[in-house]
Amino acid sequence: MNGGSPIAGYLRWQARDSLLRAFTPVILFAGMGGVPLWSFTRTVGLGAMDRPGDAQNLALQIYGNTMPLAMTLGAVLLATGIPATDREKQYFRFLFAKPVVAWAFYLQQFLVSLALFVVAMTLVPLGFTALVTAAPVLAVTKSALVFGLLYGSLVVLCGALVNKDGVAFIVVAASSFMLQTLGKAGALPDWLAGIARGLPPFVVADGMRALWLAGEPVPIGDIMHVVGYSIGMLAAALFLVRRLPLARS
Amino acid sequence: MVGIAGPNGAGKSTLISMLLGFLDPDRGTVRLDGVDPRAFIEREGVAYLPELMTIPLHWTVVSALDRLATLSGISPAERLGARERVIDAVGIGAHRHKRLKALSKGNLQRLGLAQALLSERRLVVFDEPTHGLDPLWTARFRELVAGLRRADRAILIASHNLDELERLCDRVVIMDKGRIQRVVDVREVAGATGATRRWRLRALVGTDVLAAQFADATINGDIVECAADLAGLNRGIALAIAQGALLSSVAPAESSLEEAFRTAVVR
Repeated sequence: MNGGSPIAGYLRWQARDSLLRAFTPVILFAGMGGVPLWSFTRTVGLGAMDRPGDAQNLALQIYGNTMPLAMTLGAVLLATGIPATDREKQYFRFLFAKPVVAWAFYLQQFLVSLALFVVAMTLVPLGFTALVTAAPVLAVTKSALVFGLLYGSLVVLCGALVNKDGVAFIVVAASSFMLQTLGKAGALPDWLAGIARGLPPFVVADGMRALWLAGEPVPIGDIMHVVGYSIGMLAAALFLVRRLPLARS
Repeated sequence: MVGIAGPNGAGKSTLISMLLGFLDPDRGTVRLDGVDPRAFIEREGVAYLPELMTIPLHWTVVSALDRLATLSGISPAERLGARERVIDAVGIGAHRHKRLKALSKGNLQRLGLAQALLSERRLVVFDEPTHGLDPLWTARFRELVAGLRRADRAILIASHNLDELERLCDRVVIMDKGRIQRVVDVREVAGATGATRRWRLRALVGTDVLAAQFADATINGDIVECAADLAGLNRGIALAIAQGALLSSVAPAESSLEEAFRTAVVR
């Protein structure tokens, strides 16, 4: 009867469930960047954007504005509902009456979503390069991995604690961004600057992405900081999934 | 096979949630086979039908069963066979490719029963299992549950339906206000002859004669309701018949479990 690990067997279903969300940034990019590029193409012609000049600069500017935005939104969406939806809608009653370890189930779901998100984001510069003009691909892949890990881990941590994971994420992310930006500008008292440094390193991740996209090296300390922090949040989230009751009432 | 009965809010579903490790108890501990409930379920799973069919409604019947069969640890080679077996057992073959949002309440409940039957489990937990089923499928459900009886298997059924529990279970736990008020051994109560119970007798002829044999009898049309133990009942009926009464039916006014429930749950 037993067919190996039930969770591993469920991977294809999790991939199917994550597919639309993972590819949302591609759709967002197509909507936000594709429409102005398409209308611009009709004016100057597609070939003009592949040659140095104003047309290419404008195309790269549109790309540079919309791709990071699509990536950030996609990174938030990729883990939304893990594990909050199963708890809020009581799906866990069916899933976890089976011989399944909940934290491992959600870890796999997160990793599948992250992998699909990175693949989807990589298609953006590939498509842009094929259709418009050359754009760095590996920089986007690395950035997507870091953003997906950081934003996704925080969303999962929020989801492990509360049902409204999206709202909790926005509160934490907005506070972190605001305090870290002010802290970087030296506009915070020492004690508050210390707190800001302890919050999820969104500003550091932003800086990393900017450096990668500009083709510049990223300090290894920044990579360790962001990746380490993200893994810590993910581990905390999975620990909470294991320790806290699945039903809340 | 143990039933759990109780009024709304008695704590039946909360008890089940604790048994499955979905909720932690405020005090005390819960153990299944000597271990924490989650550890037990992660090791061998349970056949569980929740009170509410909380499955994503965009899934189809077959995809829901395939997914849950996968999580049950059923190998890909056996999955199709297992799926078709339970689809046949609960009679939802005609709906196999429908999305769950297109199913009626009764068919959704049958799907819930089907997924619980996918694997052989030592622990079976049904929470309000016949909720939404028509009388035909309620009877079929009883047959299916009776077929699950096995010496090494514990079956727990929480239900409002005392008749159903009395027919299926060996013992029924009556809960109220979050506590066990009484444990009724159904077979023992049903077989007891000494206890005084209320009876409902229908007489085609001689209602007055029949009522006169019992101290507190009431007459309602051709029905006589009275209280008596088994010996007193038979004596009264024999005397009434000897005096010309003609009876068409004799039945308890309420089941033994209903009686136990009424006395255990005081409002």
